[in-house]
Amino acid sequence: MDHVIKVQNLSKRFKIKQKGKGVSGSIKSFFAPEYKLVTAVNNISFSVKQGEIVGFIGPNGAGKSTAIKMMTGILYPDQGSISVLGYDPQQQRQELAYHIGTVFGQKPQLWYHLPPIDSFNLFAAIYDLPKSEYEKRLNLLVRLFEVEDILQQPVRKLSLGQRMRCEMMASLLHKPKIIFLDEPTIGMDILVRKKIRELIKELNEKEKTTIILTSHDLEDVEQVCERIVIINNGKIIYDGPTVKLREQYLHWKRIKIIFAKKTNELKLGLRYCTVLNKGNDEFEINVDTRHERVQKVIERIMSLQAVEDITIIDPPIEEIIQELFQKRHYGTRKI
Amino acid sequence: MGFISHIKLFKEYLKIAVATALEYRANFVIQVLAMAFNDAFLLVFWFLFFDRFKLINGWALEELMILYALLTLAYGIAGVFFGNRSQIPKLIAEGKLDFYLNLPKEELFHILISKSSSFAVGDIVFGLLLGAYVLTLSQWPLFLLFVVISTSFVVSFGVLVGSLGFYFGNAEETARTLWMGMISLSSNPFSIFKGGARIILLTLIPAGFVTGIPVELLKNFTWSWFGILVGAAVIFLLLSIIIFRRGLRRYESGSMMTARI
Amino acid sequence: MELAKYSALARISIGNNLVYVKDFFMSSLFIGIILFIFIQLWTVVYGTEAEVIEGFTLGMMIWYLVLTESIVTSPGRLIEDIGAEVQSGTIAQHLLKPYHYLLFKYVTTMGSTVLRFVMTFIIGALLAFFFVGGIKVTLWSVPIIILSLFLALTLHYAFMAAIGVMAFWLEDAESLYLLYQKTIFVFGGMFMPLDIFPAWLESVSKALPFSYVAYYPAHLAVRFDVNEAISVVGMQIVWISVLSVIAWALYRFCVKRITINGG
Repeated sequence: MDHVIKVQNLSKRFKIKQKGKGVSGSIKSFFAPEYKLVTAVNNISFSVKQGEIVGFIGPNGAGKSTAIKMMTGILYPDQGSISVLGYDPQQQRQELAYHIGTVFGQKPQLWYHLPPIDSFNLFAAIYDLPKSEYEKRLNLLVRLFEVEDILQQPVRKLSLGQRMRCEMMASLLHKPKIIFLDEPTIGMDILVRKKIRELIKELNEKEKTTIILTSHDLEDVEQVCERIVIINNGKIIYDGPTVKLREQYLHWKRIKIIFAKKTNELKLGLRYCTVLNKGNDEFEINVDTRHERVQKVIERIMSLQAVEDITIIDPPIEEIIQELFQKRHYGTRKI
Repeated sequence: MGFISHIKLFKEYLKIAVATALEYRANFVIQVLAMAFNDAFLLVFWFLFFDRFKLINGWALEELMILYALLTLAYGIAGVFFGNRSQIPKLIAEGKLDFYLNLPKEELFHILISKSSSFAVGDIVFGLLLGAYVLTLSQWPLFLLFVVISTSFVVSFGVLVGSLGFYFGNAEETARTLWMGMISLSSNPFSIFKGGARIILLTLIPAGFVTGIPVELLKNFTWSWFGILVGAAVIFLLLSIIIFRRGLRRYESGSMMTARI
Repeated sequence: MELAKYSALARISIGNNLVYVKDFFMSSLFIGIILFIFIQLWTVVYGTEAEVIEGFTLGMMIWYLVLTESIVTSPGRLIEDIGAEVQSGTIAQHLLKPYHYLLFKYVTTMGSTVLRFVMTFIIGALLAFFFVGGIKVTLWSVPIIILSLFLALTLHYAFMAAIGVMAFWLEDAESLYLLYQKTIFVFGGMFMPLDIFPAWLESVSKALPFSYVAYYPAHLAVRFDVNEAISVVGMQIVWISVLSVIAWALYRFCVKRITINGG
């Protein structure tokens, strides 16, 4: 089986109750509620190969989570078909659940008042894991996730990062073929995020697990995923390799320069360069690499002023999305 | 997937319930005692009542004590072993059914068993003590069968009112009111209800089946009413499962929560 | 000035409550069920016993129960509400505000309590009127009855406040709520007039303060007597004072503990 997930023409709408104002509005909506239909997922199709790491990104409420929840069988689609590992998630929810794992950043699954080990034992029962197999798996995961010391402490006493590591472990005990991670790093600091990203990558490499990740944080997705699906207003607006996304929408390089002495104005005389922000002695320049070579720009800068520091970076992926969403392009104003 | 694996799961949840009770030992004891006293107070009312009036349409204090034993045991067992019933509307509204829907077990069963109420342990203690006091040894087998049937009615009704959450958004208050109404209706002598009220209590709000009919059967057994009781129990159970499953198709997983505010 | 501050708080509480239209319909439904049961039960009793039981006709009995039910259920779950604030220590936030916590709670809950009382009473009165007809009330006694009902709600509040604060030590507000509620149900006379009890228990229950929450004000309303009215209102004030002092002392003690422990 080459494709582990196949989604075709998937749509989902939600009904939202409209409430009037004040007491009369409340009474009216009690007896005769009015509804508004909101399309959360609008006719999307895609498929995922085994071992892929796919990132779903988009602003809050774009429909990422709704799409994932239909793939795992939580929500029923209004239209379209889904096949995950050959199962129909709605009709064969239980069978499918043995083979997939889910981590929902905002919906913890561990018992708050009990140590994680108690929850793990429970999950072993839920997944019908034989004792020896479970213990072997648990030992492996405990080493991988470095949680030896916290296994016996009540979850309420753990830090956010420790908790999330345990949450992920709970979803991996049954060796799932696909893992769905919905906003796994929400509310976490940089170090914890980094650790979690590493763990996801390691899992993919070692166990060939297919990984579906959603995030509204682009750095997560950029770092982890080789393929990106961008969703906005329930529609897929981009689906392709992360690298390609960069090439298509990222024909820009950004040059940061700190000059040795105070500089008020920078005149390069180049058509395809834009000065983005001007500090006292700091400049940021956007270069359209389709028309201008970065090297040439740097040479020009160096010839004008004494430079203390210079860095060349890609613009953050947020801007790519913005460009995709708004179809806005940088000007080609000459500076 | 199979029956046995679900029984195993049941055992695991009981272990968790025991572990939680031990973690909060003092609270557990207080809650058990409070509920047992709560039940005793209500029975005191009927002691006082029957001290003055003796008989209500054929029901005397004895029938009422049997009713209370049955009532507290049925609600107690429902609370201890299927204690998450009361949370169903909340789980629906807040999108917390996701947890169960991501796991390979029958979702309704899994939801019901995943929480246990300490208060309900007090109900069971009280029901057993009262049963030991009021029932003869020969009544016990039938009584225990009725406890099972009544528990089934109670849980089915809880699932039915809880499932309103699928259809009416936030139904917590509605479900609780109907539930409390069910308790009140099933904790009074069934003989006071006549005509239309009796029909409602044997259909829409099956309070008559939870206590009234079984108590009357214990005093005066007839196969026809026994058949009706068992049949109704099966119908209610199936109905609750069907309504819940149909409701799941409308489940929104809290997706529109932010939009609602 | 002080009074204006608290009356503004009470108005806000009523305003908040009006939004909960659904809540209102649901509690109406529940009250309807309870009163329906009572009406069935007492109709049977009066049908087999006598026209008048301990001075109560069927009509008086049902109207009595409408009133006790309205009083007892109106404040909602105040004990658990206060209990939660005491346990979580959020009560400390009120220490910085320019009002006394218990008084603040009193006016905010009394606003919604009175409103809910009126609504419950209207529903109960409609049911009672439909099933057993009206009862005779002398016009000039009405203000005194209303006063006694208001004092009953206040005493009810004082009880709940004292018990709610006790949750600080006992850790479980819901248990306390259950026990207090059942005491009022039986010994406060909510389920039936204390006159029906055996003589010894009747006199004990009537002497306890719980009877001034439910039994006495409802009794006054259906069988008004000037002398009784004076003593009931007097005793209600006495018990309100006693329980307020207890609630206040418990609160002081609890606040000291909270501030020492740093909340």
